[in-house]
Amino acid sequence: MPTPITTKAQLLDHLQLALELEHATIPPYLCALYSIRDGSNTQAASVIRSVVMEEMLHMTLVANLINAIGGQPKVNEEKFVPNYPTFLPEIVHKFIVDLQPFSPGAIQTFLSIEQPPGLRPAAAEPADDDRYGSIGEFYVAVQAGVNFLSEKGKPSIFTGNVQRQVRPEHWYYGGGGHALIVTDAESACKAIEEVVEQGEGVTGALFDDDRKDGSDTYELAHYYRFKEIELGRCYLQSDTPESGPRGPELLVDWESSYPMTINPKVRDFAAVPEIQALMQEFNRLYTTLLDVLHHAFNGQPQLLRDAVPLMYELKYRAQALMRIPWRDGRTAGPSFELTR
Amino acid sequence: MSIHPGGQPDGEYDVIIIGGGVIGALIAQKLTAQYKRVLILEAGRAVGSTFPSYQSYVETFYASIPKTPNAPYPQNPKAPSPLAIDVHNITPGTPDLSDYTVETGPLPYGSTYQRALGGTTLHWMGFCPRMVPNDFKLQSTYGRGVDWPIDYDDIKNYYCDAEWAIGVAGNKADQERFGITFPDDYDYPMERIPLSWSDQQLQRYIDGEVVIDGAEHPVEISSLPHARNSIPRPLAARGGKAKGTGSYQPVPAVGTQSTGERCEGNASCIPICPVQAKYSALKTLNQLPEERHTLLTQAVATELLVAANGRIDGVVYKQYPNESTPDFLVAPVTVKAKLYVLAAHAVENAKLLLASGPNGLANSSDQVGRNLMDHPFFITWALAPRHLNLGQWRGPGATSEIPNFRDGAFRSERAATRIDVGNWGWDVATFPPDSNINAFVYGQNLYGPALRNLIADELPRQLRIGYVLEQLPESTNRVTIDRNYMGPLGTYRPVLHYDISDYTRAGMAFAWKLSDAIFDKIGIPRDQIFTQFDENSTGYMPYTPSGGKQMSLAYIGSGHHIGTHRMGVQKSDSVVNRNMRSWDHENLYIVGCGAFPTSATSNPTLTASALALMAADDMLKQLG
Repeated sequence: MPTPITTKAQLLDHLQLALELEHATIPPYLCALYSIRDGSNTQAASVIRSVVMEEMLHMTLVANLINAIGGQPKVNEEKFVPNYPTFLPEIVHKFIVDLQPFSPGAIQTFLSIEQPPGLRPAAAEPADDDRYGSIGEFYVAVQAGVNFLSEKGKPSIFTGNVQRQVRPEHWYYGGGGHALIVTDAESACKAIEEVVEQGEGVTGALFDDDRKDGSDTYELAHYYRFKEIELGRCYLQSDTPESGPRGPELLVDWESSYPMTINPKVRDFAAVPEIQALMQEFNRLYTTLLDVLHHAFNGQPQLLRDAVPLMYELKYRAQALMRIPWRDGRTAGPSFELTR
Repeated sequence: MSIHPGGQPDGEYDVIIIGGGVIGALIAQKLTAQYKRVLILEAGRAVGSTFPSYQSYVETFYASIPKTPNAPYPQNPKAPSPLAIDVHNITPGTPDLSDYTVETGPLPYGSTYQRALGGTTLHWMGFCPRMVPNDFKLQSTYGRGVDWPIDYDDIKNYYCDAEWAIGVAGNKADQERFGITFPDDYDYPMERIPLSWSDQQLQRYIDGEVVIDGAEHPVEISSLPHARNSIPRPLAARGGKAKGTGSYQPVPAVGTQSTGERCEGNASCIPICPVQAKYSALKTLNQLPEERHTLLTQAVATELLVAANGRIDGVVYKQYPNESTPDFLVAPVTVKAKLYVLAAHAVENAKLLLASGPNGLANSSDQVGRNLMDHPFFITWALAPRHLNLGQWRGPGATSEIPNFRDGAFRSERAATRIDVGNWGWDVATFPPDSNINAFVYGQNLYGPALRNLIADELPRQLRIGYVLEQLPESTNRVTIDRNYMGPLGTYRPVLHYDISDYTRAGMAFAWKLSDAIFDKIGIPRDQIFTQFDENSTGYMPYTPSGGKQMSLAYIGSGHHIGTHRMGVQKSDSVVNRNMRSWDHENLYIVGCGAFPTSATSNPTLTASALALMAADDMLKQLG
């Protein structure tokens, strides 16, 4: 295990890594989601969509945490954007994350990403003392850091300007949950809890008990949502990790997705300048989106609304690329490379 | 939601509600919150009650060629809905039998509703304007129609309740006109749906005055309140009834947490919101406490039973296991409760009352089925000049209205009108883009870039303005039943008798002048205005203004069935009292838009919802 967090600087470093981590999962999820043809795999698409929307919320919550502590979230720098295939930022055990279409392989990667603690990813490399066992464990360490730095008698670390917080009214899209405003240890705790419970979980429980928020619903943790796709069956509220899913069948058609090239790069498409141009356009738009997000997380939270149409535009362009035949029975696809 | 399509009632109920639409759902919500047990009978299917089954509606919509209001919802032979796909002008003496409803004319009614779980909120547009105070006293203010037994002050708190129960997006500041008021500490649960790009462009030209026949009229573009999810307000906006901290939680799609918490501008609100950001009654039904309600679907109520003391003593329903089951295999079942609520839709409510008892029920006033109204919808359309950069075809069907003609002294002479500024090009005027593409491809032999360029040039410039017109209650506009026109399961098909009086036609003629003045103000040349009608137009009707020459008008139905069991202050000329309780049967409530004495110009669902919540208070009082 890495050493515990004991300084504000370490905490900010960790949170910046968290931001990179949450973001790094989004392009792989989007590739899988957008490769699904309209009308096919609707349930699987809805699962991936729900997860990716929560990852976007997590980015926002982490940005709020950084801002609360007086830091500056960075989301549009060269090193922020992974070069796929990639390992996740240096936090958790190493396993390869690809940009690839909806497929059994993609779902295995997603299971690794959302692995609950205690279950080591099957594909991971041997244990590494500088890394956490899972994303959940990483956030436990962040939480411990916040607690340590907020102990009685220490000066408050929550010195950030509250105007920099993304509030529910800025958070245009719903579905991922609420944007929580972070101003003190208690609200920081809630934000971290939200990230962890929705995602990988700490307890290994199937359902995130959202009922304490008064919303009267249980949400299945990400890992188990992907388990449903892998196993082709839904969990019931009464199911446990040991029992496996015992609910209705979830139909998956692995053959009907657009077979996007795995980890496409603009440079690989030099032979067809038209495709290359479309990929570059996608990347420029993606870069613009990151710029807008950067400004939204750095003092202009109202810009978040403007980011939403950009996200839709990215979707349409990604889908257009995935419809263009390329080599070896594969199609073109979005490469998510920072391009200015 | 606990659904028993093949199941049975379970135990005793305080209230039986007939109809699983928005009105029945809101009443069930209020009663179950007070620990009453409720049985809901829904004639249609429960499709839509799960996320995958709702998606099947979406798929049906994508695959269907005419995108009519009922296109996503397969016709149900055991509980048919009027489709109004081809509205025919009616030949005198020859009823139009082509749809589920029989139309005898002289004019076609031409509006649809939906008989499935969720009711017509499945395909409604979702506009939720309040009525203005004078709408409740048309007779005493303007000498027209009748007064309501309640006024704006009686209903205003229920409007607040309804807006929060449905989840309405709006800004109260935009709605405070013609005497509409809100509590100081109140606002809608969500911020208004933003004005579309097209609205914003038009606003720059329209806001100001127009001159018609020498008189100046103020005009402005203003936002419409919508039952679709937007940015939530803090819970404190609920005002005096605020509970808890944090923000209002927009209700997501039924059966999933990840979709529908915000409108995404899919622009297919009618006939279906693919993400369920638009409210449908399915959302309210989905939240009913499991242990205090039973929902029977595919259960068609066929008769109300009445005891010697005048109280309703049971509902007979027929529950079909599937749509191909022969009628004679479906046995009638009787269920009983303390109170009965008829929330099946204005037309179906009237039909069931007329079909019950030896000579109909709740009808000592002879008003059941009478005073049928709609909001005849008059449309005008034009091609805007390029410099306006109108950018049509974005967002919900309309995001703004021109509210200035909803009330005024003119209502003693002609109908008021609420004006929708469309976002979907010429939509119901010419059915683009298909109609344009057909004309360009087959008419002009265009293809490739030339075709694409023409479409890109023309469609964004299409401007359609719609005028929702007031109609007065007339006893000869009515729903009847007739042994010659029977439907499935031994039920009747509704027979509609419908005409539009000169009061409304005069309002329409004024709307046309107003439209020309607005198009002028925008700077649209006369040869780019395409509004015109002839005898072959759907809903054609002639009108001769006093001292003028005959003109050709036309309308389409708004789907706002109003007035078939109106409320009033006395038993002799109304069906229900101010609490929507039957004058003749003290444990029977007849709710929905059918209870409206007049139509005014507001889309009726919000007002019907507020009235339903008012009626539910009376029910709770009766139940003790």
